Amino acid sequence: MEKILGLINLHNSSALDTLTSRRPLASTGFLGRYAFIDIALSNLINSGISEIGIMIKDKPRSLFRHLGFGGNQWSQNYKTGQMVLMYNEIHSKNSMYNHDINNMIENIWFIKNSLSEYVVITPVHIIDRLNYQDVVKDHISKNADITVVYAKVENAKDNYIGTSYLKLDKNNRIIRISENKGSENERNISLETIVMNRKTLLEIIDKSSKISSFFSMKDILQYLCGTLYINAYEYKGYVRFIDSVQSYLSVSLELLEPKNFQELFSSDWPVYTRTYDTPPAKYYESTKVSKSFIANGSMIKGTIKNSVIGRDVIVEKGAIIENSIVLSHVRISNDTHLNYVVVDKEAEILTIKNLIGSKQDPLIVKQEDVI
Amino acid sequence: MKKEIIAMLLAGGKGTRLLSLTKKTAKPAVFFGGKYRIIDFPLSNCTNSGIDIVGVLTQYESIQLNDYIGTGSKWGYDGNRSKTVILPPRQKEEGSSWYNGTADAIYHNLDFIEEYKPQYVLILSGDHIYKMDYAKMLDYHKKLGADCTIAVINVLLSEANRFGIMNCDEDMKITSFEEKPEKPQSTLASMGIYIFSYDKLKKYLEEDGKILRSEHDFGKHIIPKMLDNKEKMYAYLFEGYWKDVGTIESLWQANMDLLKDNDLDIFNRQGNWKIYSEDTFSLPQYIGVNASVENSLINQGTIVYGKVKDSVVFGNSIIEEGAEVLESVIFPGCTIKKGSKIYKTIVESETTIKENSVINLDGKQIILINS
Repeated sequence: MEKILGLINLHNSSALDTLTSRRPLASTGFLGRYAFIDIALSNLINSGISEIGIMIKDKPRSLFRHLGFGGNQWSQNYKTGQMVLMYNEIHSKNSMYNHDINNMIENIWFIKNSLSEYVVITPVHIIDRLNYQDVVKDHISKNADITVVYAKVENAKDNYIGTSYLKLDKNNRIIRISENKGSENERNISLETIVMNRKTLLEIIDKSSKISSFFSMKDILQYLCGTLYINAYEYKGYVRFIDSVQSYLSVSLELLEPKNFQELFSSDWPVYTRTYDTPPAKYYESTKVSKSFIANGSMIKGTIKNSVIGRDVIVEKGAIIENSIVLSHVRISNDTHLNYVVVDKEAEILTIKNLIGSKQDPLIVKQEDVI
Repeated sequence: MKKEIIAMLLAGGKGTRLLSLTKKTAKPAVFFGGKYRIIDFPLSNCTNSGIDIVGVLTQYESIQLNDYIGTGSKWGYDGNRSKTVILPPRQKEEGSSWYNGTADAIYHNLDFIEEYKPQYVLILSGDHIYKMDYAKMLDYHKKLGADCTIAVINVLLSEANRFGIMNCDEDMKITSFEEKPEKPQSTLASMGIYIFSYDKLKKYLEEDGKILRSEHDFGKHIIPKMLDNKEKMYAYLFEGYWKDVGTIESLWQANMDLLKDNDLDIFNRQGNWKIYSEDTFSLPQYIGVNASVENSLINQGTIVYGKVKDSVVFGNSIIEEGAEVLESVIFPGCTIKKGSKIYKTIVESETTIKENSVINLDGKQIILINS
């Protein structure tokens, strides 16, 4: 097992409408009890990586709260492991300068002081179950300068628009990185997970800032495609992109099928998260719940179908929730009907009795709204 | 480190009437309430009451309990300025022995208590389920200038002969004490929760320690002796839910009580007294498309494909399609295979109920089942 420095890159996450107006995607609730960053963090921990930096783009407050001080929940041993929050305060308000390369420059001490030989940089908006040791092994065996993880897809005409795809030679070396505009169905879509030697990373950071202060990791990789040996590692497991409210809802609802959630979650690759010590969920008389995840602390008196219910949610009698995501501490009053709705934390739905969205156009109830 | 008060939690007992549940498990480690172990209640009470040091006296089958308690991080203790300390029987220069009675256990740990030079010592049992603010009891003890304060609860006169009964004057000063009286003169039952002024506790324990014939029990020896010597003893009336779940029947009943809104307030609706416990790396509970859940408590990690009614289901269990769990308590990690019907049963943890089993259909008695 190699000693690897793990960096979680929050710079390329998309906005999810009002869900991310006050928080990054990383701390947005997922599947009732997680924050998206838990998936990436757990992949790192399960890969034996305990030296972790989180590259924060903006709105860090809820992330600080979720991670706690030093993030003990995610360390095997919090003396030997460490979790560092990397924040680029100087450039935080300037979108041109606030990118991952500049974040690393601002926090270069963390990368310089590390004793790890390899670095993995991984995003938070792509859900997968990657063992980074496998990627590093492949990287070492190819003697590559950089290794990028990708997945072969067959539906790139209508999906993954705007993401990067890779043109590979027969040895899986990357010839070119381009943007997917939907011209072909079969594509090698980049999962934006990058492995390289730590020394190489330091060189690239240095080089990048000299070429352009606006260059992000994505830009410098495209630029260096011809000159450096960039290897591609194929990931064959479950993977989904969360880049819009539609995909947030559709991925969550898709995971309501047992064969899907069993692909992403298993006891040999656990997902860690912090606990809120909530009691078991309580179901009252004549509740009808089907094909749903219900988080602890919730008190259910109504009907819930094909939905994800977060912690401490109250669903009153006669309420019907379908195809929806309800985040924590929400109250849905009597006889309210929700269909294709995302209800943000602590909202109360009291007097509006019908909230009907659609798959393409889900409704969002904002955090703490009382309607 | 000097502390005003420390707690000594007696957790050494077996709970013989809990049958196979306590074959390899001490009673305080027995499961309760869909998520908790009995000892979570007195320990969480200590946390919420601001008690920093809790000595936990273990003896019977203590490995699991010792491991579970550790230095108290599950209940927020940091292991440094605040902690739980496991106190098993140990060899000393004078010799070695097991704990022979509640007072004996404390007597053998006077040196531990001395380290903190407390003014007061709180004696608790790890067997009871209740929420109590010990800080309020301490204020009461201080205000009255008592030597010993005993928490009492009102029981039915018909039940009073099962308890240690306190007879008090109108100021709640204890005038006499009767252990399991045939003709009870009051309904104030001792809860086995004591606050002693340390000097008095030390004096009486040392005296009792010298008497070889003594059973070294607080209720049978220490309290009566102190009363005889006219020490200032007061009763502190507790009003709220309190249960000593000593039998299979009472354990089942206490779990069923949670299905009605009652005083225990496990949902912490008052918002000020959370019960802390161990968290698991599990998905939220999943309720399948053809499942039916009514009037029940279910914990995270459990998957329900069948029917659950009037029951308490702990975490990480699977109720297969066609299986029915009725008025039962399912401990963690069980599999109830399809077509089974379980009625008025406690199913021990990690048990698999074979397909099409029919368990306790006549339900005349509560039964306990394991693999």
